[in-house]
Amino acid sequence: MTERQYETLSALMDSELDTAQERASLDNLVRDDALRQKWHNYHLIRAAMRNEVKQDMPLDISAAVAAQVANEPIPFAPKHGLARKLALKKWLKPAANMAIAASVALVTVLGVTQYQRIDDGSLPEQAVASPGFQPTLQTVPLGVIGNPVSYNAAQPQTSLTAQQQARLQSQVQAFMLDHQLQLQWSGALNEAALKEQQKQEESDVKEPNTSSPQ
Amino acid sequence: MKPYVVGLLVICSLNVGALQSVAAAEPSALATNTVEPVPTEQESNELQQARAQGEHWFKRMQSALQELNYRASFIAMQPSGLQAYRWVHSVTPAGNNIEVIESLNGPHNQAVRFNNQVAYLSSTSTPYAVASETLSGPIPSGLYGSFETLHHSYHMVAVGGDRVVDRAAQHIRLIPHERDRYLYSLWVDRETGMLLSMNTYLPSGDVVEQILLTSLHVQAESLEEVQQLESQWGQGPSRQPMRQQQTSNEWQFDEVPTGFTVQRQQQVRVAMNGPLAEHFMFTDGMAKFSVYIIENENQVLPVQYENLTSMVSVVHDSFAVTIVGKVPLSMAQAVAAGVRRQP
Repeated sequence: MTERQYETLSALMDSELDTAQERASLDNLVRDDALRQKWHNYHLIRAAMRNEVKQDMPLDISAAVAAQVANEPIPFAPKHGLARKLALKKWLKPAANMAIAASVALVTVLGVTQYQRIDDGSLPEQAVASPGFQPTLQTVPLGVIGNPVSYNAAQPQTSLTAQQQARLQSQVQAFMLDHQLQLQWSGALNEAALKEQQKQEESDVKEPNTSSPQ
Repeated sequence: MKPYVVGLLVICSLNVGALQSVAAAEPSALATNTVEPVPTEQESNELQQARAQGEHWFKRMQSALQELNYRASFIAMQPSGLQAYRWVHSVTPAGNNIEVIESLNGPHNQAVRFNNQVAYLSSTSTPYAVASETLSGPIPSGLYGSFETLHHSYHMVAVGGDRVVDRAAQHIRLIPHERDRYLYSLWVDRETGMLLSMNTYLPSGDVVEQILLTSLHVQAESLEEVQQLESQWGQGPSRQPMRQQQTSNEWQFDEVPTGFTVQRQQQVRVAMNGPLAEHFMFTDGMAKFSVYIIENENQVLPVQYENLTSMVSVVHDSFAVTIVGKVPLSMAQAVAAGVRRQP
C-alpha cells in the first residue's frame, strides 16, 4: 500500500474527502483486503487514543457475526461492510444532527462489541466480602461482579490459577456476548409460537416443562 | 395534539442513601399482593379496580410506543454505570414504523428499526441487520410484546399518580405471580400514554435498573428526520422466511420457573467461534434468559456471578449448562441444576 493510500484512508476517516474522492476511495477499500484491515486498525487506534477501548475488549467478531447473519432469516446482509456502514451513516445523519448537546461518560449495550466488562481484582473489598447483589446506584460504578464459585469440591475457588482466571473471564464474556446476540435475533417474531406453547402448558399443567416440541 | 418539549438537566451526584431508602419503601407495598389475608369485599374490589386500571394504562402505553411520533432522550442507570441515549420514533405518511435508539456516550452505537427489520450499527464493528419486531436495547422488548403473554405471568396494578420529568404520570407496577423474578414499575404520561420512567427491582425490593426520560417531544406530524431516513432506506430489502432449525429434542428442564416457555431453540457456536451449543431462549413475556448446553463439558468451567444480568455455568455428568439473563441468580442456578438428558 502506498503512502498516498494511507493518507486518503486517513482523510476518509476524518470525512475530509469530497464526494467523488470519497466514492473512489470507498471502491478501493471494498476491493482491497489490506486497506480494509488498515481501516479497522485505524479505528481501533483512534478508539484507543480516545480511551474508548476497554480492558478485555473482545476481538472483532463482526465478520463472524456478518457471516452468521447471512444464514439467519434477515432482510438484508451487508454485502460490503464498509460501504454499507457509510451508507447507513449517511441516513443517520439527520438523526445525529438533532440538537441535544450531551457528552457524558460510559458505554452502552446496543451493538455486539459493547457489553459489560468483567472487573477482576479491582472490586471494593466490601463487594468481594459480600458477593450478594449490589444495587444500581453505587457511588463507584461496578463492573460485573465475578464470583467464581466451585460446584466441584476438587477445585475450590482459591486454587484458581491466573490462567484459569483468564479462561473464566473469556468464558463469561463469550456467553454474555452470545446472549446479547440471541436477544437481538429473538425479537418478537416468535410470539405466536410462544402463545401456542403457553396454551399447551395450561392444558397440561402436570407435565413438566420440556424442551420445545418439534 | 400540540407539540411540547420537556427539558431536564440531569445532575448525577448519585445520592445512594436517598435512592436506596426509596427502594426500601417499595417492598411493603409490593408484598401486599402476595401473602394476602382474606381480603374484605371492599379491599377485593379496590384491588380489582387497580388491576383494571393498570391494564388500561399498560395497553395505552403499548399503543403510544407504536403510534406516537416522539423524540426523546433518556438515561439508564445500571450496575455498570450511567448511560445516555437518544430515542426517536415515528410512523411516516407511507405507513412505515421507524424507531432509532442510539447511545450518546463513548463509541457510536445505533439501532434502527424499520418495521420488522432492525439494523445494528457501531463505530467499532461491521453493521448488520436482523428480522425482529423489536429493537434490542435498554427498553425491554416485553413492553412491545403481546399483552396476553405478559398477563400470564404478571399482574399490572395501578398504584396512583406521580410527577415524572415535570409531567403528570400514572404509576403502574408489574408484579409477577411468583416472587422468584424481577419486579417492574412503569410511569406513563397521563396525556400521551408515553413511557416516562421505568424501574426494575430485585424480589427483595432493591432497585437494579432505572430508566428515566430526560426530554420528550411529541408531535402529531411524522418526524422530519425519520422521513429523511426512510427516503434513504432504499427499496425495502426482501424478507426471507424464517428458517426452521434442526434441533435436538433430548433435553429436559425440570426447574423452569412458572410462566417461562421456550421462545427459540437452535444450535449455535457460542460467540461465533466458541464451542457448539444447543441454545434455548426462555421468556415469561418480560424477563428472558438463555440456556446453553454444551456436550463437551471440559470446555466449560463452573462459574457464577450475580448482577442485573446473572450468569451461572454448571457441569453435569457429560455436559455443561450455562444460564445467562436478566433474572435473579437464584433462578439461574435452579434452572441450571434442573437440566437433564431425556432418558
